[in-house]
Amino acid sequence: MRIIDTNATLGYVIGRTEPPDTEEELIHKMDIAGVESAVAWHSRSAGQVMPGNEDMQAIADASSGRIKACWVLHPYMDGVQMPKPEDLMMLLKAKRPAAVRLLPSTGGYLLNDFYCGELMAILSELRLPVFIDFRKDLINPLEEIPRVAELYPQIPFVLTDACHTSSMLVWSLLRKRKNVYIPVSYMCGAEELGQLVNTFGPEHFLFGSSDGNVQGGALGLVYHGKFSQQAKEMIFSSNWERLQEDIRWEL
Amino acid sequence: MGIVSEFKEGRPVPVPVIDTHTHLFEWAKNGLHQGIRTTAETINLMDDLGVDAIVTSPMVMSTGDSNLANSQTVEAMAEYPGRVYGNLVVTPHDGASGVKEIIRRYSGIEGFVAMKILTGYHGSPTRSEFAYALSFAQECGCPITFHYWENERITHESVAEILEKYPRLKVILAHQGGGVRHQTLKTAELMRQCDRLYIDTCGSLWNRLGMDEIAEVVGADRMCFGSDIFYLDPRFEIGRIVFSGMTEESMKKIFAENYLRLLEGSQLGKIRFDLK
Repeated sequence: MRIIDTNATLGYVIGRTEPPDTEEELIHKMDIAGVESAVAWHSRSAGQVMPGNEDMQAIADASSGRIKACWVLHPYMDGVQMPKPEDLMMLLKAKRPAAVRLLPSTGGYLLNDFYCGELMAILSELRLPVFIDFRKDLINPLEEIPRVAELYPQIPFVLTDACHTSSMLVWSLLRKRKNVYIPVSYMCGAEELGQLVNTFGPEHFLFGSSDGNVQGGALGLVYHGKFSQQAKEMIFSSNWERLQEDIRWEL
Repeated sequence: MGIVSEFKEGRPVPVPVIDTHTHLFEWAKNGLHQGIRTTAETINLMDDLGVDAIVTSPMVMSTGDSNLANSQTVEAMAEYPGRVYGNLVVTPHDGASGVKEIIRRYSGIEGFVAMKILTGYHGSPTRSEFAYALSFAQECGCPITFHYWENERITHESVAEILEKYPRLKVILAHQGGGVRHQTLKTAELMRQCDRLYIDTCGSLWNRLGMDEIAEVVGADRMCFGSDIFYLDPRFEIGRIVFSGMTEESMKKIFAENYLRLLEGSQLGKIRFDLK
């Protein structure tokens, strides 16, 4: 089966005194785990937005298709830290990142329409997948995701770090919002992934590790999951490919 | 067929597997959707994955009620002999005399093969209430597991102090000795100094070291498979091992052989199952 890791990370890990994840290590881990390609963001972008994105794009461009770029974007598009809206749209269309990532908590902004409306309008027009951290300690994203997902139904929102301790929230979100997606990496309560897939359909789930070293855990959850072979193929690759096909670069 | 290919095809792990870090009975805390609630469901999952036996400590031990936790273990062991074994658990809540009484009450029950204390949640292993339990584990030769997670009230220094004070005690540090990379590396240093110290693999979600890399620094013969079932899905931890690129020989050690070796010479119960 073809496997695409939709949620890999490169660079230093924020908050940890550990060596950075490099593209060479990521590709090595992908080779061991049998992962064809990975969508990665670079942690430098958390503090230096566009230079970090340029780094990430350069890594992707040099990877012979093994790594795709996920850009970090901030909502305050003043032409300094972030390009102005019209410039951003042109840049995105020119560079075609596979996805974008918003970091409202570490970025210090609120994930709502007042602060993020202009950016969301661009992402909605393009239908670009948007990754958002969904850790329980990040209260603002947890509160706002139901609202922004309703306001922008064309945006696929991918909730990274959704895990067994966010289960109560994930089940409710999937029941009420169609455009919410979960990378399977940490969704590892006992038998939970199978129950989620069989309740809400496999189309809501993506293979995503968050870190190359955790790919094996996510592989175990999917390969041995109590759901159909077709569902496994969807989670491993075709759900993500469908989201990529839906991006409207030609507008 | 090898372990990787069998598991990829959705078949049980084809070598003996003892899950040394498990929990049973209902526990609806921390935002958890408890996908399985009964021991029977746990057994079904074990059958699917090829887990021969589990060693368990009910989650209720975290409240301090060691009597309830051990009695739940007795119930599960009676229902599934040969599949469910117990960690005799003690907590500091009832004081040193309470610890003694719990050990007296449960240590003669055959299915208890090891011990566990919830260090971190319940403080340092050096606290006086644990002293009798540590002496008991040393004298009867069974391993004792210490819960160990980053930023909790247990340190490598306190573990080192215990290992020095009890020179024959066999300790398993849960969660790869701290759950994250730098803690595991620090644990590895300690393991190099003391061959009675082991780790389990349980709850490795946040550890950026691959299982192959952990095996490189601590040795594959010092790791015991643990999954945190029902809290976590064993598929995750099995996948971390099976898809790490390590040899089948290393996997076999981690899945069962190391733990069985740890139980050798113990006066507590023994794990008995028909090896695959």
